[in-house]
Amino acid sequence: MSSRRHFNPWAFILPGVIAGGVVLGVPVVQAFWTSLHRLRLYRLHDQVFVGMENYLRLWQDPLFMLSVRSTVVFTVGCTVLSVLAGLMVAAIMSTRGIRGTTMARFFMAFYLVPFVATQVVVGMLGRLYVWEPEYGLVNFLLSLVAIDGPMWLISRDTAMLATVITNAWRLTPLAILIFYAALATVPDELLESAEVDGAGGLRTFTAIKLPLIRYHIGFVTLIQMTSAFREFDTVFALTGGGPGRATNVLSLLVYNEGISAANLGMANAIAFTMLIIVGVISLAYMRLARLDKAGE
Amino acid sequence: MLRLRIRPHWQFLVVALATFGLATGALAQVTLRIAEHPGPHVGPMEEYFIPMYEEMTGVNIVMEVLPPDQLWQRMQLEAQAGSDYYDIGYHSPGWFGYYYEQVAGLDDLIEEFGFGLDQYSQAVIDSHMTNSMLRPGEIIAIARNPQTPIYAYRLDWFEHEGEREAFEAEYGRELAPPATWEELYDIAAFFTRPAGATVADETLTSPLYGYSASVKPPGGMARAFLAIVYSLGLEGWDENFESDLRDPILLEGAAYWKRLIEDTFPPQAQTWDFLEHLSFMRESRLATAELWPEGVLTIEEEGAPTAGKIGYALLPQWPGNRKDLPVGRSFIGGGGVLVFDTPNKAEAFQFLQWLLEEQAAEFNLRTAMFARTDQFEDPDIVGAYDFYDTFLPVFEEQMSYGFPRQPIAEWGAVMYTPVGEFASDVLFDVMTPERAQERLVDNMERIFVESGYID
Repeated sequence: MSSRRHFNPWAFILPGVIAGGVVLGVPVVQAFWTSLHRLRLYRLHDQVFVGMENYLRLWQDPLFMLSVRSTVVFTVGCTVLSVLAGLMVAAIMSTRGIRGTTMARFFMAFYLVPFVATQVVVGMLGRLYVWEPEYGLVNFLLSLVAIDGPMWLISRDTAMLATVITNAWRLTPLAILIFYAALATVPDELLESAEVDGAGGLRTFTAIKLPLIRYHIGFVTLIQMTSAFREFDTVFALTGGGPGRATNVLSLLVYNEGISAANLGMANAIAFTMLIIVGVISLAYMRLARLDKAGE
Repeated sequence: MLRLRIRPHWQFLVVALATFGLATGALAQVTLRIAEHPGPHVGPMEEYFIPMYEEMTGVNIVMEVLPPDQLWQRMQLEAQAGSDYYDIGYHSPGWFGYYYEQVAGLDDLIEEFGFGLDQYSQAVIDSHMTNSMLRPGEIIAIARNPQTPIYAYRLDWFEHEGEREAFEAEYGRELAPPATWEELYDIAAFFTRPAGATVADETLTSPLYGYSASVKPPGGMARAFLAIVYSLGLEGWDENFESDLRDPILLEGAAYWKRLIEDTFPPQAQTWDFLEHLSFMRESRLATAELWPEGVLTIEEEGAPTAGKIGYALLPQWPGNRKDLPVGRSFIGGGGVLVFDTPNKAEAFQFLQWLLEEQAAEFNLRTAMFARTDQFEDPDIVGAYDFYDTFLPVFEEQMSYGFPRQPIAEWGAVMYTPVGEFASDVLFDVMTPERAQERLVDNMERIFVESGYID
């Protein structure tokens, strides 16, 4: 009886474990195995084991460190911007008087547009219609207030900013959705008590709502961070990593090493390093969340 | 009450036979898939040649045009996977190493269908139709538009009296096509003017730039900067696979290139892949340009504001270059078409033979792409455009200086991409020129060792 009870749960999750192992595990192991080899795109049948050589060369390469720096700036920028924007919109949309109205429903649907747009399309739209220096939307708006806008994607000073804003725009809907749903769970009694106690909208938000949805904020932060960290499509379509290497984030470095430089061993070494970095960030977050919960 | 009414048997039989006939007919129809490079041939192929051939033969042709960097990747992917997806592919000698084992040798087909090779010069055969290292002794492609860049300039502005006087007053010499790269810089700097200034007595509504190529890194940058590298008399490596890129003259070239781009190129040039800068020239926003000949119709087609106003010259010399070259030069680029080793290779070859041999004159008239010697001699072709009087002699002469790329599989990985990255890293101060040069040479030597060319 007892062994039967223990067997059943495993039987239920076994297909998932096997599927996950095949779909996730095999490519990861394959990537790591390839990263230990010298493998060129033009000689795929000629794979030579080189041990950790690719990793050693990688960490000595100043361009890798440059890409790490770009990736950190990009990831932090996208995460902060999308979480803040998501919080702001969700807070407004969930305010009593606005929540549930036709207008609110319309705007919620409107805000979700970037979420369903293909990333490459977002990048192309950004490049051709938003940041384009002569006919783009941003410089047009700036010209209305007599500001001569820069060449956003061509200048090293502004390319990263434009890239971060574009990608944050794409990430924000997820934050809005989750925060909106989370804010809907805040008990009305608490809000009413706060109102009776004379707390204003801002005070209610910072003292009651924010603490109650902090796990959601943490979750969204983690999701946005990992998403931005491995972002490729939008950046590739928007700047291609340029100007120079100003927006050459790690995923683009993987592509350039693997495809342009035909060095699949090195590309996999970078990709595997990225996986480790994301893994460490995720574990650190989960540990912090657990400590926080334990302290409650 | 429901009554099922059964039609006479012969009606079913007719329908069944017709369906079967249509289905087997559709199955029997050959479909040729072409992986194609963008260029002036795409329009005529889609609108004229392919429909005509399909109607003539019943062969179905699907052409996919991909951006250059994606094109070879896709061809390699399909070839390595053995999918037989593409029957015909664009042939760039620099990419051949990525799929050379899956390309059909054409000698048997040439003999079977009687394709004439006598109209191709030996230089074109060597650079675009054979590969002496990877597929020795075989014809592996048909050249379609082998070419090397030349210098294009606004002839009307160069002849304008006021501009000539102003230039002479500033530089102490006549305004004429540059004899050296430094002269090219002077001319470019002279014509680089802000909006509101005038050029040839006309007020500029937007800034005018002096010179440009399309320099999006790494591909566009590589293609354009290699004109400097080869003009310096450098070739990448010699017959012993010893790199000549350690030469300090490369740093002189890189410093010059940085100055030229920063002072005279439109900033947008960094986002352009190949021929986009010619559209800028067509809009009279560019005074002089690097011109890969296949782009000539952008500035010369009937109705273009610049038609008939363009002069052509050889690339200028780099004094002190390592090969004592009398003029500048670049690699022989452009390309051809190859046939993948698929079940449709005979049909694919027949289509190419029809297009590039039977329709050679018509193809040239519609695309301005030259590959065969008879195209340079055909009175109908030579007389097709007025600008050919000045353009064709320059094109032919510049080709005689063109550098045929070394036929190794690693050419892209040791030369094209790394040279583009080198130029880009110097331009954007990513690292010092010396460090970038060291990186370039180290990469080349490491790959040569890996490939067993050197110890």
